[in-house]
Amino acid sequence: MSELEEITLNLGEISKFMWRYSLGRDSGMESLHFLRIKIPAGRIKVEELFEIAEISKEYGRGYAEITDRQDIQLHWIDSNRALEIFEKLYRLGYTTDLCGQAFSSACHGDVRNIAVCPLSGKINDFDVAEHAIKLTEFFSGNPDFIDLPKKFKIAFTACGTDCVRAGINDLGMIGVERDGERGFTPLIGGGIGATYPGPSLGKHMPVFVPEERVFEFVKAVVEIHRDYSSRESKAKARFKHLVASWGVEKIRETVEDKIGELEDFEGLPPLKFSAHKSSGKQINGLHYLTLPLIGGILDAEKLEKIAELSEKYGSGEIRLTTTQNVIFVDVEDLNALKSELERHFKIYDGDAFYNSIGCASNFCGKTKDVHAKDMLRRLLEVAGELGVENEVLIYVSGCHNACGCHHVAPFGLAGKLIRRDGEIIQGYDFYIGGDIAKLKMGKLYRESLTSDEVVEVFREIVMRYKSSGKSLKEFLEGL
Amino acid sequence: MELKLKKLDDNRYELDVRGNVCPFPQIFTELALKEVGDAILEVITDNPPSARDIPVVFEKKGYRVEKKKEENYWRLIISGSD
Ligand code: SF4
Repeated sequence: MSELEEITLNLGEISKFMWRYSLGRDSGMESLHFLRIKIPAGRIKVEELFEIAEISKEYGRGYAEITDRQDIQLHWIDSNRALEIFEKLYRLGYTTDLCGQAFSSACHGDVRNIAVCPLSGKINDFDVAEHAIKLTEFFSGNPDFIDLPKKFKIAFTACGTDCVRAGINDLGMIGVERDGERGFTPLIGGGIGATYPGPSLGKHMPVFVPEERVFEFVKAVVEIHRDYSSRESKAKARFKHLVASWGVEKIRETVEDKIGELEDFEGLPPLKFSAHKSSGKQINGLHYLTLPLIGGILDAEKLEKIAELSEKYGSGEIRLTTTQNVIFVDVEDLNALKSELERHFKIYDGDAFYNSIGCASNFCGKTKDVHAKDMLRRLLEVAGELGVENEVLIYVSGCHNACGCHHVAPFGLAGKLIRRDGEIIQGYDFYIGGDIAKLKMGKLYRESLTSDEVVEVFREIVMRYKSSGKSLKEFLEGL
Repeated sequence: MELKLKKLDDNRYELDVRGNVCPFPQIFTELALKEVGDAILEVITDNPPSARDIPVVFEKKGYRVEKKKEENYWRLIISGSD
């Protein structure tokens, strides 16, 4: 073709946003687009939090929510104004998810926000955030890693608990020590969405990855996903499918072909789930304080208040958690912060308010009323009424895509539309007995319940449990 | 970075933005419309949110947009603002 038959469009400044930014698709609450801002390692300085509050006010109707991967998500974004927003984020040094999942084929997957223990470096001196931050910088917009067969999720923890749900990430890095040397032992191939081979928990790859080899190890694993996960169809394109078909040993061999041999590491340390709730002492003598948020819901004013209070009582840094909460760190006067927080926020009492999560099904458009976060709120209220708010943990997904991780909670709900009296209404499947830290999948207990029936079934289980004399875990196992 | 606008005939250009995530197909369409003047622009996208948004956005701006599904992508035919 001659040059005359083509016009060249120079993208100029727009180029810098490509493959670093995108808008996701919403279909609910009259929102057409969401903006999922990756907050590397879930750590954000107050100056940046103020800026995000401004963006929320100007472009997102003043609403914001914390996701279960420590992002900040805004809605009602007008695609006509996307470049203005991207420019603001670019100046702040933030990027977004690439949201390529709408494509009908297996392509344009990206590395999602890398989840990190929110108290890393504060309650222990093994700070894993530097690995996540370095990897985020490497993967964001990197032309070699923006067209993965499907998204790839990574998590790091080294606090002795599984506060990042490592086992449902494509790659969960569990901090360990070996002969006095720090490093990680990985879980691979977790993912609880409905795609092949179905909901899967991570499998232990029995190797020790010393800290100085973390970058090359993670890069090699993501390359294996990029080069060998199926591109035949979206349904087969997650890394969990490759792990299931190859097996852990072959993945290990392929990693070792790339980066050299890794030392064996057998025993995966026994972990308990933790949402790093309430408050506690840091290793530097100061304190942290967690603000529980139901379903991570915030607004611009609240973001500003959080920033102000962090400046006033803490170090000006906020940490976001994978249970959609906010943590103030480096707090000297805990009581003063608590009493000021109580004036501006509802401080819920009980572990369930810290531990539980609900997806954004109201915006994503997969649920009608009652939406996932509303369902979560109702069950938490009932838990409070029945006095089990310190025992239960509830994860709610609006559909079987499982963004609310319902399979791995003692109480999990997955939304679906059901027919009742000739009408299509919102229903939920009820799962029980999951335990992410023990790598235990919940089982389907009741199917296709209305929201009122969900509440009834929850009540009934709790009442029976309370008179059983057993631990909740034992009781749910026996059901 | 640059994109090519292919001339289909005297009064018609084609912009292939397959593989681009939202909102870039819309942004590139905006740029291309500035270039082609009164000519018809055919945008090819395989991104469902963009196929949903582009007709709405450009009809609001006064263009006529015809949407055709072809195999695994959409062809959005945008003709001059009234
Ligand atoms: S689980 Fe379903 S409803 Fe909830 S955010 Fe994911 S896709 Fe949407």
